[in-house]
Amino acid sequence: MSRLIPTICILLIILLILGGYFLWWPKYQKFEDLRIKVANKTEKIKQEEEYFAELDALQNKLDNYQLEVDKINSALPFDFDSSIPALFNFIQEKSAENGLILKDIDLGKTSQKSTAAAAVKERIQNIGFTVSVSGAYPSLKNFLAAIYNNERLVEVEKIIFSYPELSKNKEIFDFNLQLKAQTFNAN
Amino acid sequence: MAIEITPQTRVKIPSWSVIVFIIELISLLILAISYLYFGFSSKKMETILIQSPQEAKLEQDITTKEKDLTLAKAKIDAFAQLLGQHQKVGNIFSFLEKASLPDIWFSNFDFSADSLTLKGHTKDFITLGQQILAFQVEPAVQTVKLSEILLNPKGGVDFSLLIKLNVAIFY
Repeated sequence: MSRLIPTICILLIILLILGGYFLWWPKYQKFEDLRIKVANKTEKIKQEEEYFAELDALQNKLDNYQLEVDKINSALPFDFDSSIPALFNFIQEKSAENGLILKDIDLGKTSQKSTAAAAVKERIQNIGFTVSVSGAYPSLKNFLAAIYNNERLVEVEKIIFSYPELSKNKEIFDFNLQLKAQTFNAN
Repeated sequence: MAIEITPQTRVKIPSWSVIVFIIELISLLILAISYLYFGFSSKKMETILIQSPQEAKLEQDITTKEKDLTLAKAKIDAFAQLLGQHQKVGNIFSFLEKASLPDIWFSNFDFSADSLTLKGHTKDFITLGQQILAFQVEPAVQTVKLSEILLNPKGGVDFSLLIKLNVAIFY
């Protein structure tokens, strides 16, 4: 009996050491690892929620400028193909409003700006087209002013006209214009 | 028969071994409890680490909103850039009306980028020279080049001018 207690003590020490090393320590390491992962995840979710709130605030801010955004969308439409009829209709309307007769409108080659390094430029797709109109010189000036002031951004790249020697009406000119509009490539 | 009772000798347990035994028991208990705690907590945390539908939705919402806002920003930037380059080409006519002399008759007009080619007719060389000078003093003009000049059989002088314009005129 006098040796029993010390023997149990020694056995318990061995049990503690072995159990601690083979069972408790791996369990603790797994627990600690998971605890860190959960802490990181909690922090990540918190950051994501804050970030989403910031994005939401930005979206709300943008929504307050809906009128301006709509104007930008009109000036720079997304869809290339569907924007061409609208653009040509706009040219037809503006020429008629300003006393010009639209004789011909021709879609030229379209090109995407590839020279500019900026990503902003890569998204812009140009629509080049030529317009032949007939009318008086003041009408051309008014037409140019109208397309300049309109929210649809149309650039005049070339203007050619000459004095109508063969025409009976010396006030009527044939104007050939090379114009350019843009669409925005969302992809 | 007489029974003889021999006094039992008391076993003396060393006090240190009792203390160690108690400490070991307590340690074993702590080890067992903490083992169980780590086991339960680990299971709970493993469940937390699995992505919930709400988290997936949050991430998807962020991606969608980011995409929308990035697109809106890119479009606004592109528009601002284009607006900055938007040229008021009609200004060229105001300039011509202002700088043209009364005795000059322009018959052809060809404008492209910042170059303007004008073909015309005038009564004499002196008027043509004055017209060139009138163009040269205009701030809208960079250079004026007389590219063609010939006498018209019907009288007067036919000419062609190549005018390089200052792009500031268009803004």
